[in-house]
Parts: sequence; C-alpha cells; structure tokens
Amino acid sequence: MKILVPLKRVADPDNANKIKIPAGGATIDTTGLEWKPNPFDEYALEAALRLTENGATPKTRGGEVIVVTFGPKECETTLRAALATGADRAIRVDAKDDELDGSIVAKALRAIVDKEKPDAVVMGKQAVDGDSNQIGQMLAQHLGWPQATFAATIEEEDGALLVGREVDGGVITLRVKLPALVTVDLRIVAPTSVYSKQTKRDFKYNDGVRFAALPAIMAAKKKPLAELKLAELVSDTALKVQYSRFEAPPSRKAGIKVKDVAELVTRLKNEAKVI
Amino acid sequence: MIDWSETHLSIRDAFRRFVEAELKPNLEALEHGDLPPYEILRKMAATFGLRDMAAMKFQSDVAKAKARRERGEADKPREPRANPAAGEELAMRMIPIIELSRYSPGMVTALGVSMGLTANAIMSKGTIEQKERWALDLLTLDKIGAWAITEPGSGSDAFGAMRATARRDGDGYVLSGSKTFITNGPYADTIVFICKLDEGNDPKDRRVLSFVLDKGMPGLTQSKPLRKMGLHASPTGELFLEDVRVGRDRLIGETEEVQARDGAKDTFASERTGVAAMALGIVEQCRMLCIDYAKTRVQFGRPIGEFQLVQLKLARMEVARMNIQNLVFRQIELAAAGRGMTLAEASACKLYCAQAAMEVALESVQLFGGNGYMAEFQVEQLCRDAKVLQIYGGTDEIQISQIARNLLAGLGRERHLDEPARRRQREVLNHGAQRRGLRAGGAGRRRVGVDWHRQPVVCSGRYVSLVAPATRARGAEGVGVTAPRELFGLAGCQRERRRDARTAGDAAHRSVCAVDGASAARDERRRVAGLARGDLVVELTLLPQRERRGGRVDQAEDDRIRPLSAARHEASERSARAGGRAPRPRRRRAPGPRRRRASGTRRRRASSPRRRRASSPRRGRTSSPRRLRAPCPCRGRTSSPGGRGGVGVVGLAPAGSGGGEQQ
Ligand SMILES: Cc1cc2nc3c(=O)[nH]c(=O)nc-3n(C[C@H](O)[C@H](O)[C@H](O)COP(=O)(O)OP(=O)(O)OC[C@H]3O[C@@H](n4cnc5c(N)ncnc54)[C@H](O)[C@@H]3O)c2cc1C
Ligand SMILES: Cc1cc2nc3c(=O)[nH]c(=O)nc-3n(C[C@H](O)[C@H](O)[C@H](O)COP(=O)(O)OP(=O)(O)OC[C@H]3O[C@@H](n4cnc5c(N)ncnc54)[C@H](O)[C@@H]3O)c2cc1C
Repeated sequence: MKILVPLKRVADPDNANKIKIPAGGATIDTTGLEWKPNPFDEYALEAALRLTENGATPKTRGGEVIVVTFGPKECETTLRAALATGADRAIRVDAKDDELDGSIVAKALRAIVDKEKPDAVVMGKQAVDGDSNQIGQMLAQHLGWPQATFAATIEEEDGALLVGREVDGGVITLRVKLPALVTVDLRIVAPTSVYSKQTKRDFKYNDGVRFAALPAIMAAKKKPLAELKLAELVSDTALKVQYSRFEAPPSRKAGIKVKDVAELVTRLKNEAKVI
Repeated sequence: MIDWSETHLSIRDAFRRFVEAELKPNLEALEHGDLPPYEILRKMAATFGLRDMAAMKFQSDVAKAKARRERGEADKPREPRANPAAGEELAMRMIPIIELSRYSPGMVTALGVSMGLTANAIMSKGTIEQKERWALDLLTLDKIGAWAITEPGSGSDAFGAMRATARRDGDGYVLSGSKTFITNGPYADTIVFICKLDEGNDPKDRRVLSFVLDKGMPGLTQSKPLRKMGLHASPTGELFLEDVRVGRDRLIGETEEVQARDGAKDTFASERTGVAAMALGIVEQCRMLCIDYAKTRVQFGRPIGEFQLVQLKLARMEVARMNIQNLVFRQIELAAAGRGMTLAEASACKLYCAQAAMEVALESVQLFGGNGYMAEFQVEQLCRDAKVLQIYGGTDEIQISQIARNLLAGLGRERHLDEPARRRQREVLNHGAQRRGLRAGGAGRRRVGVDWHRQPVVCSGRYVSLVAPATRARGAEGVGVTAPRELFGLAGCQRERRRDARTAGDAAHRSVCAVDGASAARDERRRVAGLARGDLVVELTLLPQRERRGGRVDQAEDDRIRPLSAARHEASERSARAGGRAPRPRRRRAPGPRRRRASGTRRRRASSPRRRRASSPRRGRTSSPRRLRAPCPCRGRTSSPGGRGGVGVVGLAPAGSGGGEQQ
C-alpha cells in the first residue's frame, strides 16, 4: 500500500506560555519558539508505518509512506525526523506560514495526491496550534474519496480499510473502499490499534509512536526529499481565511471565598454566568 | 564545529524523548529505591539500535583481527589521519551521555563503566578469544561489567599502594585482595580485576596484571551497594577475593608482558574525556530549570530573575555551558582529525568540567531557595551527583598536579591519547616540547628527561624521516611522524641531545627542520627534496649506547622499524664499528634557533650537494663531523626518508618506571 501522510510542525505545546502577541494583536511573535511535529500527525505517521509493514519484521517495508509538509526550509527537520522513523520519502512544499490557510493546503494536497496516486491519505485529525480540524474533510471532498475521521483503529482488508471510531458509548466501525482518507485520533497508537494484512492479529506493538534508531537517523539524510512550489500546485493562492486579531487568554484572577451555598449560587449565576 | 548538526539534533531529540518516556517515570525508584539501572539502559540500547551496531562492529573487528592472525600479521597500528566518521561516532556517543545526564548522571556512570571501561580493557589488550568470551556481551549490555583498581588503601596512588596480588600457581594464578568503590560491583557479571604479580619481590617493583573474573567464582564476593551521597542510579560496591584460582585464559592478553599500567592509564584518559559530556548534561539541565524558575518565582513583587544577584548566577551558568560545550566540540573535532586530547589536556578538561558542573549545580540549589534543598526539585539531586565528577577518574587535585607537571616539564602538547598516534608523534612532539622546556630553563630540561624515562629510546645508529603535517607520515614506518606544524614555531634547525639515567651512556641527537618559510633557498630545497611547504624533516641521531640498563628492547617496536631499514642499518652499524668509537656529542648545549644558520652553512660545505639541498641547515648541523663517525650509506638520498634515513633502530624499552599514579 502507498500512503500519503501530511505533517505539520507546531509550536511546542508544552511551551505555549512562550508565545507572545505584540501590541495590536495583528500577529503572533514566533521567535524563540521550539517546534515539534503536530502530535496527531506523528500518530498518523505511526499508523501509516504499521499499515505498510509486518509488525514482527518492521525493518522490511511492505509498502510506501510519503510524508509531505508545507513551510520554509526549516520544516525539513520535521520531514527528516519522519524519514528517520521509517517514512520512505518526503516532499516539502515551499511556503511561508502566512501564505497558507486550510483551503489552500487542502487544494495543494489534492494536487499532490493526483500526482502521487496513493492508496490512502492518513492524517492527524487536527493540528494542535490552530485546532481547525478541517483539512482532512476538505481534501476528501476535493478528491471525491470516502473518509473516516477520528480513527481509533484501522485494519487493512483487500481493497478497503476497516476503521473504528470511538463515539459516546461505543465504537462505530466503517469500511471505506480504497482509495480513502482517514484522520486519526490519539488511540491509534495503542498496541493493537492498527493491523496491516501482513501483521498477525495477535501481534502487539509498543504503546505510542516508535523511536528512530541511530542508524536510521543517519540514513535519513540520504532518503529522497523533494521540494515543490506552492504555485505549481494551486492556481488561486488568495487566502480565504484571514486572522483579524490575536489575544492571549486572560490571566487568571485570584479566587474568592464564599460564605455559604446561597452566595455560591448567586455568584455562579450572576458573575460566572454558568448556571 | 560551531554547533550541533541537524542530524545531531535529531538524535538528541530522539534520546530526549526516550529519557522523558522511560527514565523520568523511574527516577524516583532509581534514586530512592533499589531499582538497578540496567533494564532501562538495555531498553535504550535496543530501541536505538545501539545493541545491533555494537554487535556488528564487534563482529567485523574480530573477523579482521582473525584474518590478520591467519596471515601472520601483527596488529596494524592506526595511522593518525583525518577521519570524519570517527568524529560522528564520538558525537553519537556523547549525545546520549548528555541527555541521560540531565536526569541521571548515575545511569551514565553505570553504562560507561560496563560498556566503556570494562569492555575496552578487554578489547584493547585481550586476545581474540577473550574478546569473544567476554567483550561482546559487555558491548551489547547483555552482561554488566565492572573495572576494579581502587582499594581501601589505594585510590589516587592506584599503582603505588596496590595490595591485591596474583601468585603463580601451576599454569594459572591465585588472586587475592579487596577492591572498593567499584561501579557495578554489586551486580557485575564480568569483572576486570587489576592486581600485582607477587614474585616475592618488593611491591614497588611488581608487575601489574589484569584478570577477567566471572560472577560466582569460588572465593569472589560482591558486596551490596554502598550508601552514598549521590549517584544513586549507579550501584557502587566492594569486591573481596580470597584465593580465587584462575587459569591463564583469564589473564588479559594471556601474557604477563601486557602493559596493564598503560591500559589503565588509557582508561583514565577516556574516563576523563567522558566527564565533559556528563558535565554538559548537568549544566544544561540546571540552567534550563533555573531560567524557568527565575522567570516565574516572584519575591518582593518581582520575578527573582530581575535581581542582579540572580542574574549573575544565570550568566555564570551560561558561561560554563558555553565552555563545556566547546570542550565537547573540541573532542569531536579532534576525533575527526584522527587525534585525541593529550593526557594533560584531558586532565585540564576534566578538572574544568567537573568544577563548573559542581558550581552550577550548587548555585542552582541556591537560586531555588528552600525549594532547591528539597528532593522534589531536581537540582537537589543534580547537585549531589555533580560532586562525584571531582572525585572519580582522578580527583581534582590529581588533575591539577598532572597539568602542572606537564607545564613545568614544558610538555604542553605532547602525548596524544591514542597509542599508535602517540607513538608516532612522540619523536617529534617531544622535540618541540623539549625545546620549550629548554627555553624555560634547566628545570624544564630535567622534566623532559623524566618523561623519556617512561619510554626511553635506546638505540643506535641514525635515523632520518620526513614528516608531513596533517597528512600521512611519509617517513620511515613506525617513526615517521605527523606533527602539528605550529609546534615547531620557527622554521629552521634545532638540535637536541639527551642523556638520562635509564639509558645511561646513550645520547640522542635530534634535529627538526621545518621545511617552511618563504625564502627562495627554502623553496629550492623543498623542490629538490620533493617536499611540500609545511613538511617537516625530522632527523634523529641516536648515538650507540654503551650500557643499556635492563637491556630490553621492545621487540614489536623494533620489528616495525627494522624491516624498512635493516640492511642499511646493519651496513651503517658495521661502518660505525669500523669507525671505532661512538660519536660523542657535547653535553651542555642548549641549541637556539639563532645558531642554526651558521652551523647550517658550515654543514653545507661538508655534505654532498644533493643532501645539502634536501636538508635544512638544521639537518646539516646534526651531521656535523663529530657525529658522522657512523655514516649512513644512504644519506645521499633525499627524496624518501625511508630510503635515506631508515638507518636507525629505535627500540623502545618497556615502560616500567614511575608514573604509576592514577593520573
Ligand atoms: C561513585 C564512585 C564510583 C567509583 N567507581 C570506581 C570504579 O568503578 N572502579 C575503580 O577502580 N574505582 C572507582 N572509584 C574510585 C575512585 O577512582 C577513587 O575514589 C578516586 O580515585 C580517589 O581515590 P580515593 O577515594 O582513595 O581518595 P584518596 O586518594 O585517598 O584521596 C583523598 C584526598 O587526597 C587528595 N590527594 C591524594 N593524593 C594527592 C596528591 N598526590 N596531591 C594532592 N592531593 C592528593 C585527593 O585529591 C583527595 O582530595 C569510584 C569512586 C566513586 C566515588
Ligand atoms: C530545611 C529547611 C528548613 C526550614 N525551616 C523553616 C522554618 O522552620 N520556618 C520557616 O518559616 N521557614 C523555614 N524554612 C524556609 C526558609 O526560611 C526559606 O526557604 C528561605 O527564607 C528562602 O526563601 P524561599 O525558599 O522562598 O526562596 P526565595 O525567596 O524564593 O529565593 C529564591 C532565590 O532568589 C533569591 N532572592 C530572593 N529575593 C532576592 C533579592 N531581593 N535580591 C537578590 N536575590 C533574591 C534568593 O537568595 C534565592 O537564591 C526552611 C527552609 C529549609 C530549606
């Protein structure tokens, strides 16, 4: 199976307090931030790797995983890390962050899918910076492919994927015919979440995403990494989404003590307006 | 190296993730419980493919060694040449050390002693069978190793006061003695035990031997972990040996001739360089925690980072971090250039890094105030752990005396750690250093002599070699030397003569000529000699010895040089003998650069035209008539050092004297 996995780098969510918003709030100051791959994208990559191997012999690849990202040259670090963990090749679409919105990325991905013709696109359900949760859905629409979002399990069948989605009170299982688009949720990296056709059903993965071995990190330097121009993929590069203003969350005010339940109820009703 | 490369950073990130996921949750158990570190280390080795890499490298090294043995070749000494892969390899060893040390310097110690010290002791001096029997399992962490030299009564003076003994018993030995402060001692499967061969002689004169022991051998007791101030993740214990019988197969190298002292010294050196990476991990972590704390801890209505006294602490931490990181980078660069730190440099490096780590960690506790004193905050642990860096691998005081000793001896730059390179460079490096010593005055001169005691040159005849800096030695095999050109500072000629107690009656003249400088005359000499700018011509005139104490010549060293020149040497020996008496140089002449020109000119007249051009004035000086009593039949040749010069036999007597301290 050939799988396309879009990756995005995001500001390290553990250091979110370092984000600064200059006066006026027109932009976000990203200087000094540490970048990490979006965690859901890492889960998507792990799922794609599992789908293209026999879990017992992960060194022999049983398919191809192509990772793609949008951004400046520095984003290649994210791609190299993905190549080190097992992706076979990488594409970087050269673009500045402020040239992109969900719609443009979805259209550009469509152009890449048309070119690469993967059997599936596996992607994170959302990026943890903007939390938009829309590109997967838009891309499936552009491609006219079946989609299964928020996947917690994936099992490969002949010509289809069996996808489990956790919902309140149970699991919905969808069978999507290939080619298909799947967006993944965090449960996808549990030990028994993903099975390719080759992997025995009693095989258990380590929990979480895999580590890159040192030789693989060294070898990643030699794996192919192509660069594309955004303009080659989309004709209309006008932004549909424009950010008008940023605001830091208000700093928390000191708490107060209440005398009795009656006062609590009044305050919750009149000040906090939660009841 | 200015900064870590992108690949290094990927490796760092990968280890960082591992440490966060696997080590951090177990830190409490490692620090305050009884969890030994080995399972986590094994998991790390497996996860990152370190185990497979070590096994593969081992197999290929052993296969090569076997093939050499089958062909009847001796182990080929490594040429000191640039090898970027070695730099990368070192970087890949350093990065995990740095990342582990941010949380647990003890894990690094346990790992380093097992996979590093113990395995290396066997890999560097053991036989192929011994490597296969013990070293592979250590390199893969399947087994845990300990390296035992320290005793209750002998620490800094590791060799001098050593009590542990081996007594011959049939074809084997009986070992007894006790060791203490032994890392991994309580759990070790494989122990390298260092002791002295008791032949009924004075303990000072006893030979030092290393044996490999297995857990559970009759007579061997491994204590429980000792309680200590810090480094709790590294179990430290005592070993007691009561008449442990071992076969010769457990004697490292399977011969009593193996220089266990040298092995141990190399071990100290590599231990010292490893401390830099540990210190960097500790300092990076402390600095990071302190910056965060200084920004968020509010006193007197302001974050404490706004107080200048707190800023001073942070600034000093940053200075320490920069310095240590640069020392780490330097080690990587040196490895990539095929070199290592000199023993003195390694000592200076260890001293600085250990002290800086301690200072930073202590100041971090201070910056955290009451919190810093509480186990809940990591700086408390790092502070206790950092202290050990000033003690093991040679205490601060020992490093200081080592550095000072080198400075006073004018040996600022000699003695590279990797043995083959060291051997090759000794000739030239000692020369350059010696010159400095001489400038410094008489004391310097004597100290140089002391160094020669360790590897005295006892030889006769005459030897000339050409040396190209930073390129492979073109000189006679075994004595051709690659030398940093700056060592010689000035172009020109320099002659030395030495005489020392061990080689009583011997005297060596050495001349070094940097084929440098821009004058037309020098260009012409270079052209004729087929040399490049910056090449060095080393000429060593070693006068026939009359009495050589002990009479021993290191056969291997001898053999390595001899084949190139045996015929010519013998010819020259014959003619020397025919000439009657050995040349005797004047004793008290400290040569100075200024005198070169004159003597060179003088010499030029006396020598054949070809040689005259090939050699610099310095060389000419060496060949002054009083020393030409042992003429070399091939001296007229100028283009190849092997051809013209390999007329000497340089034998290195076994290093047996002094210098045994753990330094
Ligand atoms: C955690 C830990 C792990 C260790 N692991 C091992 C191991 O795996 N294997 C092993 O063999 N050893 C190990 N050691 C031992 C370590 O190498 C010694 O502790 C160290 O060499 C110092 O020796 P000592 O403790 O006997 O101190 P001493 O030599 O007794 O020194 C006491 C003090 O005197 C000073 N001093 C001694 N001589 C001089 C001098 N000539 N000039 C000035 N000052 C001097 C020292 O600097 C020190 O301050 C370990 C030690 C520790 C703490
Ligand atoms: C073992 C122990 C026992 C204790 N017992 C008691 C007890 O019995 N009763 C009790 O009340 N308290 C007790 N304490 C608390 C102790 O008095 C405080 O820890 C101490 O006063 C420091 O305050 P802090 O921990 O809040 O550090 P902080 O005040 O937060 O200081 C943090 C760092 O900032 C520096 N700093 C702060 N202000 C300035 C400034 N203006 N200029 C420059 N630098 C500054 C400090 O020097 C320190 O390095 C105890 C603490 C310990 C560790």
